[in-house]
Amino acid sequence: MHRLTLTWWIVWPLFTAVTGRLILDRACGDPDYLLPALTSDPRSAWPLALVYIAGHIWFVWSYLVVVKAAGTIVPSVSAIKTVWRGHLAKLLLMTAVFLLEYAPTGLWSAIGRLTGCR
Amino acid sequence: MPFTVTFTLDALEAFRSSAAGRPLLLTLGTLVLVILVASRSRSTVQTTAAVLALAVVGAIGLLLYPAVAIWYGSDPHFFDNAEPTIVSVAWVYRDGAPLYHAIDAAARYSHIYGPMAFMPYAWVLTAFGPSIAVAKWFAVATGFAALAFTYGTARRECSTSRSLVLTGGAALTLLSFRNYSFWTRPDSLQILCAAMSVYFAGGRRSMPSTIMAGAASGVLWNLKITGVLYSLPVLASIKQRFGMRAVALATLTGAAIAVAPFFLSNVSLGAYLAWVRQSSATGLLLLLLRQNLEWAAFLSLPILLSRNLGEPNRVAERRDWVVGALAVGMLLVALAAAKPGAGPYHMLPFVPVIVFVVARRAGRRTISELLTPPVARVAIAFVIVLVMLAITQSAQLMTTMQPRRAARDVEDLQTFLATHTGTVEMAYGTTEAQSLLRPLLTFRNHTYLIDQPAVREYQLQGLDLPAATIDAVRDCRVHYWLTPKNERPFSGLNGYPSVLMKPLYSRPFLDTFFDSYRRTETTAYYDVWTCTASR
Repeated sequence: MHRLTLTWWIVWPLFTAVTGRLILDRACGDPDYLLPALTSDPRSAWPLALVYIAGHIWFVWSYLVVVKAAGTIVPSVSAIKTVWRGHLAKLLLMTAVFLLEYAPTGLWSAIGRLTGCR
Repeated sequence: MPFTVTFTLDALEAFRSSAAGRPLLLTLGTLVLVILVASRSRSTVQTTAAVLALAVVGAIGLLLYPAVAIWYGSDPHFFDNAEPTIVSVAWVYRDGAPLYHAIDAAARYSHIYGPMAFMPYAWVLTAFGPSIAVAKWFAVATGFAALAFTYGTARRECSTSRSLVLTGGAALTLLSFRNYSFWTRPDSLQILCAAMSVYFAGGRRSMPSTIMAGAASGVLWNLKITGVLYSLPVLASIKQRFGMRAVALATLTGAAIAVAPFFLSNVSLGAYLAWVRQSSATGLLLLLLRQNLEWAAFLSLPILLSRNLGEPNRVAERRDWVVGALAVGMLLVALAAAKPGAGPYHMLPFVPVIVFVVARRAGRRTISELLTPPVARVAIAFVIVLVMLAITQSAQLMTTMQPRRAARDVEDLQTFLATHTGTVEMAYGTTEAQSLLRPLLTFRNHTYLIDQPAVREYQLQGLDLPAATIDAVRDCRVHYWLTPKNERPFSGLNGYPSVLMKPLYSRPFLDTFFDSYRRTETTAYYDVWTCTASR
């Protein structure tokens, strides 16, 4: 748990920055070819992908910690609160970023059209 | 076709195109429905329902897989444009052509697959005669063999019925990627080698088990540059069972097998590495990375479900090196498979290891210990999604193949070849499906100048057609080029995002072609372009 909360300070800001940029591209650019300038060059593509993967590892890790502590693969909200006592904000912030990242692409396209950037 | 059948197929296709790439989200959605339905039922009912669902799913998998694979193998048409590439390149390699030609060579057919992706096809085509049917049946046989080894692995760890259910589940997982486990591309061989290495690593005697697992792993490492990542859990299993010396022996055996083909005169390691380096400069697609991660998580669900959350076995499972190595392997493959043209199907060689881990855990426990109510609900949601994916993807395979099977283009090509002497190749055209029979031409030519999937990859890597290829066209090295009827020769466009809609063939190449060739005749399916100098 200690490692998880400690790594959050590195993983969350970077993952949030990457996700924010991806959302911008989904809204205003080509949703099938995200961040073309960065991803077509291996020198920037690999670090970007590593940050993206690190965010996912952190999230799955946080889930597994709760599963282990709660003894069930579908932990209750109270079990999550108990395990994350004192650090719940970190988990909620990461969850929020994940919800944004996994929101339907159509939603971002619609927002892009509404705001006029598409 | 009756209206109801058409409607069903349309509905399946609509589901496939919108949801098949999101298996984890689909499972979460299904889980919500399952929880709503199950909330009022007793825990014993939920366990029974899960057992029933698993049994039915196992049976569906064991019946559907052979049905689809045999149906696919029973016709000489291909689904994918790179399937004929493997067969064609295997045939010219068998005749002594270099497997990896120079970057500026006239021929344009080298890919970054290892030599073992082609060599087995060269062997079977030599043994049974050059035909598309032989290549396809060989690929189907690798699919069946992979499932047989997967069953053997599971059976060592748990009962016959549980092994059958797991094998059926594995079959459905493979079908979730259409024909990938029994097509002529390297993936079918990768899955087989992965299944063999897991099976052999579970043998009783240290030395033969280690050597056999190492040998199967060696082929796996040779097939694709990422092959070693699939072997991490197998090496972890060998370490757990026989110790570090056995790991060293397996690694040495594998390395020897993996490099052996490069000692052949027409397999250049330098040229192979040059193509791999060339390919590594293409960057990554984040959309693919997300799909890969989602599939990795989806395929890992059975491992999570089989995890013992009760006290007694916790310590043993915490030290499970195989699961750790599997997680590392899957993450690295997810990253590597984010390259343009790759994708989640690169996770398929992990399926036999996943079955092994689940079988090992399931073999130790009773049904009630395994399928507690929360696990039962998630298991039901998982298998529902698995069945939906397998059925929709199989339906898409069949609807794509149906018109191809009905065409009489094989006979048309054979008639043309019987009445014309000289070299005949495909000039592709705008659509690609009609060019998939090109191995029939390669079998007769014993040469292969232009492979469009290779040209597409090269363009992505920033390579245009070299002067040597243009010279070969000017010199009429090919006597007849065939294009799909009423399509302009070499008019294909690239589909990779960074070079989207870019013409595959450069203007100088096209100018040279139209200077050197004229459309002289048509067959039932093709336009024939003949070298003007030889008319």
